Order: sequence, then structure tokens, then C-alpha cells
Amino acid sequence: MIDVIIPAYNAHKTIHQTLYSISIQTIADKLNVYIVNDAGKDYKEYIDFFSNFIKIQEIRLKKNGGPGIAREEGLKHSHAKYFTFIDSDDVFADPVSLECLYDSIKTNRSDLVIGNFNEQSYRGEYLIHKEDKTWLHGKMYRRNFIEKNNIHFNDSRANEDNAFNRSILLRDPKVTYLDKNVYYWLYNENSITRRNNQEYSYEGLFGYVENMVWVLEDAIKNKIAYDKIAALALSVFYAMYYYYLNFEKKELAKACKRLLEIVEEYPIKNEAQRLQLITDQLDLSKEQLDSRKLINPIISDVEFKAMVKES
Amino acid sequence: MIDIIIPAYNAHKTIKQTLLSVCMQNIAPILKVYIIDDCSDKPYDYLKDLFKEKINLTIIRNEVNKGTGVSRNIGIEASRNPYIFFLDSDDLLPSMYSMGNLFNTIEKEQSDLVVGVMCIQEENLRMTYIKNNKNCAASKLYSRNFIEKHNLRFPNSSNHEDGIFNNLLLVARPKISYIDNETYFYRLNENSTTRKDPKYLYNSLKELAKNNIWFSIEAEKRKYNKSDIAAYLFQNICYSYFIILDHLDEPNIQSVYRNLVLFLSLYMSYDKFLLDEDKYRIYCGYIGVYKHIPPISFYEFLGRISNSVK
Repeated sequence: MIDVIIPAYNAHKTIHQTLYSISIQTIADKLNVYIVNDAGKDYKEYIDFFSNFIKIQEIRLKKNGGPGIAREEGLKHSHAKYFTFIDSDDVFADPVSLECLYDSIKTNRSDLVIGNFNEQSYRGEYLIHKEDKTWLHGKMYRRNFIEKNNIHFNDSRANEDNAFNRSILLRDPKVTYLDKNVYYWLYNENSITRRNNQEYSYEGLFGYVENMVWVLEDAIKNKIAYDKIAALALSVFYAMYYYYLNFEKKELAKACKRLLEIVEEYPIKNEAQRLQLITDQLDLSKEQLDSRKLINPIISDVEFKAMVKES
Repeated sequence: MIDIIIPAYNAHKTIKQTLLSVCMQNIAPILKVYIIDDCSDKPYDYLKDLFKEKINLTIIRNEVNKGTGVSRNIGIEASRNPYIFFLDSDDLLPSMYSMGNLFNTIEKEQSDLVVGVMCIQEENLRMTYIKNNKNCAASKLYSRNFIEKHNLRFPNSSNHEDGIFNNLLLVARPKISYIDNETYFYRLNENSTTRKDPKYLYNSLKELAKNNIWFSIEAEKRKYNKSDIAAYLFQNICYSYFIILDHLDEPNIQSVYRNLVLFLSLYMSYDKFLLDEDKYRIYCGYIGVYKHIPPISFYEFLGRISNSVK
């Protein structure tokens, strides 16, 4: 059996599409669907209609907590061997999407299967995401791995999905990639992630750092391998450094204080590995940076670090 | 605007998902569904309550079993919308945009026929995607105007009746548009294994032969081009022949030969209207599919056909 968890906040305009795409799955009889109502208007009419075809229930939260809390509650109330998430304004790609993920996780005995998902632009075009590790779209998880490793969602309202995936990846799961599109992330002008990209990118960075620090603190508490903590901390720090160079806002430096503490508590001993991690972050922001700043990042980050410690 | 015709015989296990995939369409408000109940053991009236206010559903019951071909014809005659889509009671529309994509294209391009991509579920979760399929009534949107102008109908048969209907339609030279979107999901089910059973296969070839004879009569009535008619007959000759070659060592294969004789003679009377290069092209299409059969030269193949008739 597979749990399908749908965090929903007043999603009445779009959730019928989500539910139809679930009810036509070839393995519909193996699904338990949970609509987690994040303190909005109820979904009774949807439960009444779709109960005729699939096992479905509504979990009502008294207080609005955001998608992370909603998913966490979904996990708490469910107990199937495998689970998957779908947003209340998205759809599965075709009738075999879940069967393919299910077949893969069972056959390969994986802890996590990552399928492809298609991101729809406002013009209706699609961008294919393969081997993505940030979003929850198009993935299937083994509950046993999550429970055994004490992995949870935090209560932040953005980037909490990235934090969940990172927490899992830090614990060395068996990951299988399924090279097939299983999920459509549809264009929805009202969704949080769609507001003017530039604006979201900048504001989103604070949520990103906060979440990554949460992941690191949680990993430290749970005694995760030193190497993994060190590598993640360093990667995130240098990602933030290059965003700082792009936006030139002091607030970003201030947000990295705890992060820098962890980087210094967990230094990477292998110099070659350290340089590789830094260079990887450099590749990410190459187009955004002035060529002057690209020269000798190891030296110029001294200024940034000083700014971080000052704050 | 679009009539979806679903012939149904004892389809209670699967038809609910079929209808859910119709409800899922982003243009659901302009779809009208006709279920033609071909004398199933149990009626489908419960579906009207279940899908009340979700889809516009009409159920027509045949009091005796009339077969898939006649059921589809009943659907054509009962419905009125400008466009027609045929959906089997155990298959699905794969995406919420399936019907919308067909509709937008047929309106924009004023085509007589729009062909979408057909997804076929194979064993082991493999999917085959067919873009230009012409052999079945599925994954296409038909213009009612064109069907009525040429008085096109399905033969009285439950096997290959849709391929023959398509041949009759194609021989009338419709304006066809092709789209890249998935418009039909052909589900793997128990029937798929039945189709490999030799007894079913022989029966199926007999039906095919019978339907081809029907096709030639109907095409002649409408005075269609003789070389076009010859091409479709030859295509089905190749299809039948390669299936036979694929089962040569099976018992009772000789009986199938005998049943094909009438069809073969019919074809021989059209043979002169078909250019050698067209024959060769059609023949090569089948060689591609049946790679595992020991190669037989094109002229040997033609020879065998004319010898079978003698």
C-alpha cells in the first residue's frame, strides 16, 4: 500500500484535477489518499465523491501551520510502507506514474525513488527536472527509512521540502532514479513559488539558509557522519557567498552567522575535496558574477566572512 | 461539442476509471458521453447517479448483443455533436489536456480527422507510443460532417471493425492533422493474453477477411479510387499473411488459409490497380515488424498469394 499525502490550503479551485489524476492510476486500489486541510474550508464534497473510487480521507488541522506541518501531520496519520506527496494544484503525469515509482522502489529495495517531473511555464512550455533532490515532486519514499532515522519536516513555510530531502540524503539512503516523467508541476499564478522570480529568489534565500542550518543542527544532534555534515555546511556557505556577491545585500551575510560557526566546527580536512565543493558552487552562479569577483574566491571570501562574524 | 462513444459489454470493473478520466478533462463541460450497453449482464444506470453533475451521460441499451461495430454505429446515430471520439470501456484518457488538444486542433485547422499519440501499456510497465496509428478508432477525433457526407459506418463485426472503418474513411481522402499530445491510454489487461491464443487469432483473421470484403463493396458503392482500395486490401493481405507465417508450425493453420481464399481472390481482382512500388512499400512496412520471421522475397510473397487462389 502507498500513502498519497496532499497538503491543502483552500485548494478548492484546483484539487479536483489532482484527485482525478490519482483516481485513474492503474494501482488506484493500492492507494490511501490523505487531504491535509491546513485550517481552511473543508473538502467534504470531494471526499464524498472520490470515496466511491479510492480510499480517501481528510485530516483537519485546527491551526494553520504551512505545508511542512501539514505534510508532517499527513505522515503521522498514515502508515503504509511507502508514501508520496502531491501538491493540491499539481497532477500525476499519466495513469502509470505511481505504478512505475512503486515498481522501482520495490524491485530495487530503495529508500527513495526519484522520478522526473515537468515544470509548466506560464506559456505552457515544460522544463524537465531529472534527478532532482530539492523538491518533493515525483518521488516515492520508504517509511521505514524515515522512521528509523527520525526524519521530520520542520515548521518553516518555504524550503521545508528541500530540508526534508537533505535530511534524508545525509543519512545515506539507497536512491534509485527513474528516468520517466511522473509528475506535472503546473503553472499556478497564485502559488507562493511563482511570485516574481527575482523577489522570491532573494527572500527565499533566508528561508533556504534557515532550513539548511536546521538540517545541519538536526544532523549533529542525531550524530550523522562528520564528512556529510562538513560537506553540506561548506556547500551551503559558498552558495550563500555567491548569492551575496550577486545581490550585495548585507542582510545575507547576517543570515549566515550560525552557518559559518558550523563550517568552522566541521572543517574539511581534504584540501582537494574542499576546493572541489567551493568550485561546484562557483559553477552555479557563474553567469551572475562579475569576472573580477571570480578571481581567487578563496581569498576574497575573507571579507564576506568578516562581515558575517561582525553581525 | 464532442460526443464520446463508449461501447460496453460487462465492463463494470473498468468503466468507472474510464469515466473519471473523462471528468478529468479540462474541457469536460463540452463533452457528452454515450455508453452503448451491448446487452451486458447488469445495466449501467448506477453510473448516472455516481457521475451526476460531473459529466453529461446518456446510456443506450441493446436488448440483444449486437457486437462492437453495430454498437459504435448506434452511438454515431444517437449523438449530434460536430465531433466524435471513440473510447473503449477499459481504456483511459491519459492527460487532462487530451480532449482539449484534439478539439483545439480540429477547430483551428478545420480537419476531418485529428490523430493524437496512443500510449500502449505493455508488460513490465513498458510503454509504447504510437504517433500515426491508423488501425483503430482510438486516439482520434472525427468530424461528424465528414462521416455523414460519406455515410461512413462500422461493419457488423467485433473484430478489426475499427481498422476497417478507418480504411473506409481514409479511402475518402479526409484532411488529417497530427498532434504530439497523448490522447489515448490503452490499458494492459487479461484480453491482451487472449489475443495471443491461436484460436482467437484464427477467428480474428477470418473476421478480418470478411470485413475486407465488406470494405470493398462499400468503397465501390461510393465510387472511390480503385488503387486506393487496392492499397488497403493489400495492407490487410500482408497483415494476415505475416501472422500466418508467424504461426506456420501450429495445428489448424491450413484452415486459416482456406478461409482467406475468398479475400485473396478479391484482392487479385484489384491487383492490377496497385503499382509495384506501392505494393513493395506496404510489404516492407510489415517486414519491419516481423523481423523474426525468415525473410521471404517480395516476388515469392506475391507468388504465394496468387498460388493460394488457384
